[in-house]
Amino acid sequence: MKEVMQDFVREASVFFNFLVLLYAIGICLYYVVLSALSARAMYIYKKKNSFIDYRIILSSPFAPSVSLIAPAYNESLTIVDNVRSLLTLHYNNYEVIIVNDGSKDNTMDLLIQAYELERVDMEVDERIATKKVRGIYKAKNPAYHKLLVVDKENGGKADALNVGVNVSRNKLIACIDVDCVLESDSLLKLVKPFMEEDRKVIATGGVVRIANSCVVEDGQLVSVHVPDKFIARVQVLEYFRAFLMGRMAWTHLDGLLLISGAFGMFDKDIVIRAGGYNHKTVGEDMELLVRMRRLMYEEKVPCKVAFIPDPLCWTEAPQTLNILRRQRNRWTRGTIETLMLHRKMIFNKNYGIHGLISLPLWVLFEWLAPLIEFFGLLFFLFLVLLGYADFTYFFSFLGVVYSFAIMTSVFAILFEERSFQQYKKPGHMLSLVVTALLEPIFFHPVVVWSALMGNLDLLTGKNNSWGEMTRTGFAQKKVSV
Amino acid sequence: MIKESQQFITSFMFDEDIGQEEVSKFRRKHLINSSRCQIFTNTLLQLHKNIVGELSDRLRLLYMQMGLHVHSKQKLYEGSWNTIANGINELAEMDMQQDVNLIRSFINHYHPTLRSVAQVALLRIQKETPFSFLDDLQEPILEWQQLQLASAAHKAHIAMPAFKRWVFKKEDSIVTFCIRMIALYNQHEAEDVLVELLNHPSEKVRAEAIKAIRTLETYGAKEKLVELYDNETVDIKIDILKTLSIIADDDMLPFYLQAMTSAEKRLRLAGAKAMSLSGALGREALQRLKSDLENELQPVAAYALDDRL
Repeated sequence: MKEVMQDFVREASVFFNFLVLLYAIGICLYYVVLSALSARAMYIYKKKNSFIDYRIILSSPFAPSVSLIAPAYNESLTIVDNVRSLLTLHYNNYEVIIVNDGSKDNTMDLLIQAYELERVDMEVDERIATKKVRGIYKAKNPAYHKLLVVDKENGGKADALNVGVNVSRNKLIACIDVDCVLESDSLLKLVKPFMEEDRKVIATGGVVRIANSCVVEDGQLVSVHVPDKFIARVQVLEYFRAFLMGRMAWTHLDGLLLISGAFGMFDKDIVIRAGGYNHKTVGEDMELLVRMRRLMYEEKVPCKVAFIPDPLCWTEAPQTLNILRRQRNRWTRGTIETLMLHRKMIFNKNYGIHGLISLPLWVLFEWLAPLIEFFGLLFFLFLVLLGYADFTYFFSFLGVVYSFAIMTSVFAILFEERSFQQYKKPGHMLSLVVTALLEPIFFHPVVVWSALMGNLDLLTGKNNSWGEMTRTGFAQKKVSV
Repeated sequence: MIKESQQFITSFMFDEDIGQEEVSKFRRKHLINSSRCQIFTNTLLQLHKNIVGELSDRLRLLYMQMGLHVHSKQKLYEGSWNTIANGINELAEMDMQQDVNLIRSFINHYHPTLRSVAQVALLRIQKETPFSFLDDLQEPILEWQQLQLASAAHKAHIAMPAFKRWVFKKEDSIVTFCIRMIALYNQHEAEDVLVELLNHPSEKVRAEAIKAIRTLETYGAKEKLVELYDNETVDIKIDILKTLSIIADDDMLPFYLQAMTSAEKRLRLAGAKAMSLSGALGREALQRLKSDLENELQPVAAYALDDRL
């Protein structure tokens, strides 16, 4: 009996090793293919862009009008500056809609005071059901004629965005996080895909960059620096990989599933017909896009989601472990909720590349990866206890995986350096390379653990909310003349 | 190479004694390969963009004498779309009228960026008939291309043709572009054609025609718009209401009131706004509704009268 058990465990460990190896090869191939596709997509984009002068959009009467929607909750620290920077974007015809989502601090009072707001009798076409709107405000001062502020009962980010959608007057809506710093030409760049494709474009997104330790003056980014803190610095690498390598590739395949909630532009009509943002999920950005795509498939309307690789938006990344864990927990829950809601699409040929490739790979390599990693490690520890662990295999495998991770990060750094050179000092690059070496050891386990907890929390129905992100505000610097 | 190019070009611009011999000498010595040719071309073009008049003509002469025209034209026989586009841009910048037909052969190319570059180039070169390429155009003019054409036409200070000539083409995007240009350049002689286009099968064309009628204030379109209203989509109905508020008289007030009782809220709001913009009588009627707090149209009337919205 003991021998039978020993044989069984031995066979199981061999089978386990084989499965893990297969999965690792799969995930490595996945990243290699994405990297190659991204490089090609970037080359095509740069070639096409050399013939573009975005300034003609500024002066053209043919340029579409845009409604910029920004939900705000307890943003008293930065709201006045953030709104000012939104009002000075380089775009001719747009409105800025700030939705105060029942803030508990004095966000609303600060807005009223700074922008001379007064209540107006605006009737809203409530095409999406939302929590009650308490009042709508416009500025007395004509200098702020683009600004519209909506005060509403607290209902969460998704609900606030839906109010913005109901109130907006234009066919294109740009949804942003109010504390993000937008590049001045971000609207020009994001609007262009809606005008240049022969298929209907339903959404566009751009690259989100990490603003920690950057210098922001009066809501404008004036100087780019690599974040001082390790936690934030690692996220710079993560964002490089995700945006420059991941999303570029998926856009090239027309299989993109996610436009960042920090900044994205959408066809308002399609958003409304799809039902608006879902306030029952914490991954409302991904869920909306998947639902919009699903609607287009079901209506058999060829469409496209575009992605601009230029840095358009800068955001503050979590700088403490606690906040990072909450964020990654939420991202995991959001991913699973979206996959569950739209599970009918997975492996369903009626949903084209999304059904056959994007969603299945998202399940396998985005959702399951942390679980496979964690339980794989647990099983290995079990083998160690029983004395069946193959340490040679384990450390060889770990070495290969670690090397591949470093290589991917370094490639992402080179990609950014070749394409946009946002981090100009040599010290910046060196700092990022060193961070890449340390990431798998110190950062990755935190991400895996947070993802695991996200799965558990969703299973147990615990913590079904966004949680609070504590903002520290961007570094401010006054230049003396 | 850049410095040498700049020096030579500057000398050539201001010294008429520099003739073909010196030019050939420079060319033999410095423009020994394609990259150096390109550097010189880029320097010349950059300078040409910022100069007008006689100096500009001098630069054009230099471009020809240096053989760069041949270098640019050769690009149009390459396989890569961006090389062709670069060649077209160079020829257009230097106003190479003799290459119009060659450039024109690209207006229906499969690559939209190249099509656009060719079309804008023709606009610049064919000053007498800038939009004549529309006769031969089969491919769609995407929104972005329309923007580029309109911008290029504005910058080129050319005499605009009568765009109504092309509003019955099969390709809807060409029709919508021409309608927009009719409105942009106040071509009132096209008003009858705009009214005809209200029967177009494409919703997009009808919408553009209605907007153009609004811009041109075509009073004669009133009856037709009212006739079409009931069978149109909500978006077009809103456009019709906006247009009627500009072109129609107070006799439309009952029409706006009917829209204000529509089941569709957007139409109620649009009807009320149209009434407020129609004149003093309309505003008075809305004021009475606003004062009547019991009336279900009170909020809509209050919204319409608020000029901040």
